[in-house]
Amino acid sequence: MQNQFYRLFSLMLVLSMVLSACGSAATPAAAPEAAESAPAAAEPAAAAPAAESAAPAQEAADSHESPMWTEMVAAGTLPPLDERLPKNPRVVEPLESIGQYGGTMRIPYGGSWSSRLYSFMGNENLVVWTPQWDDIIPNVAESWEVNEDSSEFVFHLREGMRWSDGELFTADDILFWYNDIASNTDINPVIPSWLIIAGEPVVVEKIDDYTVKFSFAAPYGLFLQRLATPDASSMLEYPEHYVKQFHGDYNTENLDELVEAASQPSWVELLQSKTGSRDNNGPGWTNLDLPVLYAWRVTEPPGGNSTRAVLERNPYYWKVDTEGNQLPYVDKLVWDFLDDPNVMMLRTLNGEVEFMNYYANSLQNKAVYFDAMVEGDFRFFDQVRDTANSLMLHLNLNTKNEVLREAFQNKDFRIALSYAINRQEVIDTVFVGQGIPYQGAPKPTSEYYNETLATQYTEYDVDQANQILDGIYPDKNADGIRLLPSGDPLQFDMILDATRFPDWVNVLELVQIYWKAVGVDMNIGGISGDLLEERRKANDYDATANFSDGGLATILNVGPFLSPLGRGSTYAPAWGAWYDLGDGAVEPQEPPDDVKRQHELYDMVKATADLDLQRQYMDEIIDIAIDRFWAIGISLDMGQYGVVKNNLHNVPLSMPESWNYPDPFPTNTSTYWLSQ
Amino acid sequence: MLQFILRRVFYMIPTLFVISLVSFAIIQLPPGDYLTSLVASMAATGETVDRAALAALEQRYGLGQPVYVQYWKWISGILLHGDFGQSFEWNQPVSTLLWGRLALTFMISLFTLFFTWIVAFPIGIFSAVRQYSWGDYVATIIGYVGLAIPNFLIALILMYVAFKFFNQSVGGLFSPEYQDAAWDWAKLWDLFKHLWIPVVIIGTAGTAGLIRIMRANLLDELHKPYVVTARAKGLSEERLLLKYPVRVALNPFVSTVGWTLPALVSGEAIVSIVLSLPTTGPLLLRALMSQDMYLAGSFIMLLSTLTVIGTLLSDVLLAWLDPRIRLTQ
Repeated sequence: MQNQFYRLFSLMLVLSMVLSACGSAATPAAAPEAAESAPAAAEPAAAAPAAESAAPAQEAADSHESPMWTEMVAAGTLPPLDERLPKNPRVVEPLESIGQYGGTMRIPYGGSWSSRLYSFMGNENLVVWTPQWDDIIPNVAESWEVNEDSSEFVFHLREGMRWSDGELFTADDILFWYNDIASNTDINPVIPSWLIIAGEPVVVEKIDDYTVKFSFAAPYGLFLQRLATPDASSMLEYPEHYVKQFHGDYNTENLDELVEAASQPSWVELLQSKTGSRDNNGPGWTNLDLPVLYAWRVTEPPGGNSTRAVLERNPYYWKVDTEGNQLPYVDKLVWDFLDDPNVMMLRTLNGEVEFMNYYANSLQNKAVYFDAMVEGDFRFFDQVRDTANSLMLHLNLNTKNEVLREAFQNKDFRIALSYAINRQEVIDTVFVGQGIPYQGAPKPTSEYYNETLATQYTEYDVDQANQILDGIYPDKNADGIRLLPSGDPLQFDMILDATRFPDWVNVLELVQIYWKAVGVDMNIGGISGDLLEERRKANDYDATANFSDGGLATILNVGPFLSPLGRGSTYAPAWGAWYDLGDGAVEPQEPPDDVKRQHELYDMVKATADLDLQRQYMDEIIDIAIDRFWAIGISLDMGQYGVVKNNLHNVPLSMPESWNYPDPFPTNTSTYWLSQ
Repeated sequence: MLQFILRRVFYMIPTLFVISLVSFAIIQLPPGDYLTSLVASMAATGETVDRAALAALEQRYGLGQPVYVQYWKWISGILLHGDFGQSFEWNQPVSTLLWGRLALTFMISLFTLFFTWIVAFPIGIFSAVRQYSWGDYVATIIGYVGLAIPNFLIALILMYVAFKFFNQSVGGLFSPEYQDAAWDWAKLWDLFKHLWIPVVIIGTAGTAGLIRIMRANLLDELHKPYVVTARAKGLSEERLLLKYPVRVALNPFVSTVGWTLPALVSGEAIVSIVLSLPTTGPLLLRALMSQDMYLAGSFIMLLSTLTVIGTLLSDVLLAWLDPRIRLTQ
């Protein structure tokens, strides 16, 4: 069985990309984290601080917490540190140095606060990714066991761990979440798909106060990975003792009054308006009373009328550094809401921002930051995106237009269009020289990198493109556009969200010229994101430009470029819907046999925890993808960055960026510290 | 006069009803609904959203219901309980959001209005009286430049200047150290230090327009026989100017002063976004973009109501100012 665990962990080598990208600066953290990851060892490093704080340690404890708390402890308004920490706190090895307490971090944000706050500090799941995204390590759970066929998972929680209001966190909180929130059809009409395997939802049992067991109807080899992603965020954010008062099954005394006072239609809406970091669109962040497990808790909520949110340290945070100092180091986070990226940039240039990793970090801005580095007293860190390509061109193989469908399903046609693109020119003009010609494929540092998949048909060869196309559609009209068998010119619209991705329009404008040169007329349909979403759901489009997540976490994200499934597969939405309806309403169509084989293989990948088998199945999926040549890629996505002030420490030189790895949280944001 | 006002108020009722229908229809026009827009914006940052989560949200927001049910829910809430509904995006009651931002919006808008008038009227009068003089040309050039440069660009340039040469924190209405400080003189001073930027920016465009209108109106009047008569009778030049032609030239201002009322609330959305001001403009824009329908609908409703009230006010003012209009009523 022990062997089984190791296999499971090493399976995460899928995501090995980051190791090399991080370089030497990130590696010191790797060793202790890896030691921690052996569940049987149950964090050997933890023994030291636990013993220290348990025994005679009153004076020692004093020096291991923020001065903010020492006074309160002395005044008796806060219990001493050893009563606030669990018996076995999670020990985090800081990346560079043991920090100093204090300071305020200013972070700008635009758009939705829930995503940004969540990915900075909210991803406190049972297990988390390592900073390098190459393994899974204990977090809220101090250890776990998995049975032989990966269908039963037992998690051991930390005894004495507390919510931010001082109440104990136990297995009951997880059961409350599963039984009364996730499975309550008034609140959640459908059980989340990551909890369902072989059509059956998970069974959650309490073994004792600090042990929970998850049993699935069939093997679920990717369960631990799912647990580390934001999918699992809701599990640990429903403190039973607090949320009960809003729940119809528990509060029979004054629930109607509470509903009335909040002018909500029923208790369901009331509960939903009080909870959720990701659930219910994130109202939990605006509720000051909601107990949390995060390193900081909200003291000034974000909202329509405030231009910022303020968070202060959680006195009951359950992590310590290797010297037993309670984390986090930084006292206070101030999130400034700046709707305009230019303002964000000016503030960053002025050194008024400690950490910036979204919105104002376009490639075009990098030179401006570079010039102001000394004056603004900041430095860069690299962001390595999970995307397989800078931009994927998806011809809809299931389009309702029959003539075009026939053209698009012809692999030679797609190959010709790929040859017709001058990728180097696109890279030089739009992506300021960052990247190399590339198809939709795992990144070179990924375990699943495949040279053929990555580079096939990427040469710029107009003659060959014309030669292939002449074989299919030899006739042209007066404008030099090829004629379809119906006599109509070969024309189609490529739709995309022009508001959010002006860069993509720039790419397409070049592609339009290249394709016109070989007699194919593509119109750029720059439309609003909402309309795009509606048309994708209705499968009402001929071609679209899309993302390609999964360049690093390939095993979690096959849809965008390997095999049609879920929402990323806009190149064959109806075949994807056959496997998984996703969130859309695309009418499923029976796919060809090789696609069915891919679906079958992916089911096998999900079911097994055997790394070799997984590798073997994935390789077969990739072989089919090479043969299929689903969509046309442009270039390898490179050169992204974030900005940190020079006095902020323990920030790695490089970190992955992905929704599945909600950066920067897995790099241990609680160990970031400010030198004064 | 009283009867005139009452009749106008009575007309407002059907107008407002039609406006409520139209504004609700408008916010339903874009494809999809709030969830579509939510999914689109999440997809743009690579986030995935589970079907289960969407089902829960759809149920919570009642988005699956027919349009007339949604309209009734909204309008009956406003009429019967004064409840404008909940904003989906902010998870707050719409009324809280609206009232919370109105004070600052009004302040900025009023300051801007006074700034515009104080600058525009004297210059307008001057350039009409001294037409084609050196001063007239200077005023005209400045006016056109102010009119021609987009506001957001002036905003960016002023912010860059403030950052580069004065080392001032840009955006927002307060420096960070005063954000959560209690109101005192220092904080007020800090507010004024930030306030001049939006006031000048929003003011420049308006000032230019006003100068031109004032100049043109006044030029029409200056050569009329009554001016000559008054001058012949020995009236002093200033008294003559201010008592007769300027008063007549003010008519177009008064008849449009009502329109400033909705403008006070909608503010200058683009400038506010660029400057990160907590005014109502950016809120409205965001609500429309994300299809946050109760917030957007209530906003449009409020703006329309203010326009209707503003028009009434203009009419009353005009009747008071100009006896000729009063008599024909």
